[in-house]
Amino acid sequence: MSDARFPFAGLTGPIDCDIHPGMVSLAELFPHLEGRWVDHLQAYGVHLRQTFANTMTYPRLARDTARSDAWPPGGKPPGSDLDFLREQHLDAQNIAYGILQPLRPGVASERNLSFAAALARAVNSWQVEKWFKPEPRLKGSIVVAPDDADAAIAEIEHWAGHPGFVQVALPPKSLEPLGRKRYWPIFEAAAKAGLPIGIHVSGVAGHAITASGWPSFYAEDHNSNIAAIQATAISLIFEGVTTRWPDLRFVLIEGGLGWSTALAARLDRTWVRFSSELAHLIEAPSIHLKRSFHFTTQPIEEPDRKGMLTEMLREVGIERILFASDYPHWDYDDPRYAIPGDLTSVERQAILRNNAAALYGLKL
Amino acid sequence: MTKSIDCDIHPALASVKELIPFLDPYWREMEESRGTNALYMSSYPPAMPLSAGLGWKTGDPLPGADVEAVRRQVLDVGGCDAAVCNLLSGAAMVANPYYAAALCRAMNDWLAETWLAQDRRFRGSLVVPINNVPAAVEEIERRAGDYRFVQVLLYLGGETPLGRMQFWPIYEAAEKADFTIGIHPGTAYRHAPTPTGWPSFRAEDYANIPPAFEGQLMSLISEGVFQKYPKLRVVILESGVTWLPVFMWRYAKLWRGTRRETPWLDRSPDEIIRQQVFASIAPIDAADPVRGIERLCEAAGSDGMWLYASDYPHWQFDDPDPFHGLPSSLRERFATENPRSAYPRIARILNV
Amino acid sequence: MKTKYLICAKADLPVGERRIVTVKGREIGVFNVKGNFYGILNRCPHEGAALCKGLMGSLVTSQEPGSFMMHREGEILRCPWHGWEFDIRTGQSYCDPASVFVKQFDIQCAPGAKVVEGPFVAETFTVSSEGEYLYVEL
Repeated sequence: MSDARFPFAGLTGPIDCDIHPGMVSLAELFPHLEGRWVDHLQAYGVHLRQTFANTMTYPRLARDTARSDAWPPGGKPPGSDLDFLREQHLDAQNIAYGILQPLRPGVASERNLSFAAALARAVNSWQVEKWFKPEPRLKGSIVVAPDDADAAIAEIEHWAGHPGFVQVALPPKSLEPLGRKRYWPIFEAAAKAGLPIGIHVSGVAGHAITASGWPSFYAEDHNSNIAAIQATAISLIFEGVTTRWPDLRFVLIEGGLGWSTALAARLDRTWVRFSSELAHLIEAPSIHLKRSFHFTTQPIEEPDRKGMLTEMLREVGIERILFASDYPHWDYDDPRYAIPGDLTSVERQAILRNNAAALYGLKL
Repeated sequence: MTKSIDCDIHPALASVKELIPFLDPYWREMEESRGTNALYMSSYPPAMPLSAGLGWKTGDPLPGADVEAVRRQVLDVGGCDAAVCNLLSGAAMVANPYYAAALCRAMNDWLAETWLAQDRRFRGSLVVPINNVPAAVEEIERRAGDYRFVQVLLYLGGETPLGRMQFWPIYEAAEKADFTIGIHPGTAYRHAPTPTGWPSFRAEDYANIPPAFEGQLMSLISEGVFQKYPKLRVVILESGVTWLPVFMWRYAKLWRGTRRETPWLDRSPDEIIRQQVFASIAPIDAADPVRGIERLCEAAGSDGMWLYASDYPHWQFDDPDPFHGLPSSLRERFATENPRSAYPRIARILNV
Repeated sequence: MKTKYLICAKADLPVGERRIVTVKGREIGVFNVKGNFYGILNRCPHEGAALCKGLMGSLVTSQEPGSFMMHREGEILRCPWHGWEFDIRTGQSYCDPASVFVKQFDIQCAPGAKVVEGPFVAETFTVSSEGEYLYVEL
């Protein structure tokens, strides 16, 4: 049945650049951890810069941050069951490839850095065993704890060349903006391994989530992720990371993309006005933004007026944009309906699969 | 004859010493014995290129400190009939709440005597001690009858988001006296300027300003300040402005799914913004300022939100008239009609 | 001209329960809300989610910041994806109002609880009972 709002109901084998795999419980990590760290995990849990032991400072309005229809039969947590993931998402949407972004446990923000290194290894091994091996459509991200650069480099080098991993994961909420010197050895390692950096909204850095302190509501927390993503992009450009590694690609995941046009103009204006402070930056920042960064679509902007979304996507640059669903989260975008119908079919295919295939080296 | 209004100029306070005649004996003696320097905001160190545009320099040690020069360049050459003076001094950010209150009171008195009394065209914004709400309210009430003051000026980066209920008495007092709330860049740096910590460069702090405005707008809206104070008007100053429509789309979308947590919102956040929030268009983050403004109106669904401002003496534009290609009807709107809507207290003296 | 299609026996749909049935190729959620029966299309008009798998809740309204008033308990269906709220009886969504593009300055604070109706309406169907059985009309 045809529906004017959903003109492209046919599926086109999208590459989904953001899927969150879950665990039935943290015990799934035990086979991948040394005994002492199993004990540590059970006794102390993950140690973050947040108010509550087992939940985020701003609790989500949806249980487990998930769509309420994403609980597998038997009541297991959303995203934790491969069969249900296949049924509800991979098969149902004819997903060609799905890129996993593990969010829990919060490895990148774990305060105990020795434990963080062990957790990183465990989460990455878990990705291989539970997901990549049985399901060739699934790829993933090398999780690291960036505040221990040596351990992060060791983790990247361990997995470099493994066909399951297509990027290194770093959080946009970190102890310092990611462009700062302490993180440069990680970029060197990623560049050497030929891997892009996937920066997914995440991280519990301990900084107030707005420049004027801590707000009250979940919606405000949600929007602070965009502030973090922008601050990260600005830092990577202004500090010189995108100059030093011009072939390294950064994927900004779940931060939206509409803000990038205004930001590009602001950065260029800033660069001119503060030229003596930024003398090391030879090219205009907007060039860096266009060259080094990709954006995933979800959560897609929804302007009132018809045609504005398409205009916005073209302004950002169709070749920069990668489709993401964010399955199984509540603000999930469906590949059939989230991308506007008035793009050309070449543009749609680029966003839905071809850009990601090129960036991540995936065969279609 | 049109009566155009410049919604953002920055007279400068050269030194806290200038405030001494306006302080009571206790604070006078404290100042004299402590020898505090100028309390310039870290956001605007005076010699930084942004703070003092080349074309505006008058040979003064501090751009914006000379009344005659400002009158000549802003009012006469600029050709406006009113200009809103926004003091950017760190004095309002002092941690001691009593000291902050005393300094703010003295600054407003200094502004009234040194500037507002020198030319009928000057208007003022009250600076208030954000960390001493009763004193802030007292200051607003003290000046309620003085229509040369049209706005209560708040700074972008404080200790607590501005929508929080501890600040509501300020909004109540402002609404009662028809003062507009102005939010201007300037941070106390009590928190890192980004959610991911401290950038290295001043340029970077500057580039990160729009998300800070988003945070403050979201706070004011989601906490229900516009429901509690339905006549309140808020002006966003010197923000770069082209970020605003995308934020309106995003917040409307977010609100549809999270409405239950803030059920007092009686309309969509983008509606609230269109109706009660204004923004100055200097500087504007757009390669082509004229095209940028046109797109702003289209994307935000309104041409009634935008306010002309020179941002004197900050060096934002290389072109002295960046909007010269704009249709005159829009220029008229931004320079006369919209500022009147944003600042109801201005019209009392303008007789329009 | 509408036809009635048999859904199930009334006894098979107790109070507070729901069933999703396919009638003429369309998935319809049938709900028993306090003894009254309602039918709604199992597809959210926003992005096509399976609306009828969402949680049921109350309508929350407010007179001022900090006040929370609950009405229509169990009658508001929340889309499982983006959480949009739909009145089970009418299909009306509760979110933003029709957009207004003219600047207004005389904004009245609405007395009492006020919730604005949203732009989307989910398709609803009449569910009737005859004897022991429930029917939906299409």
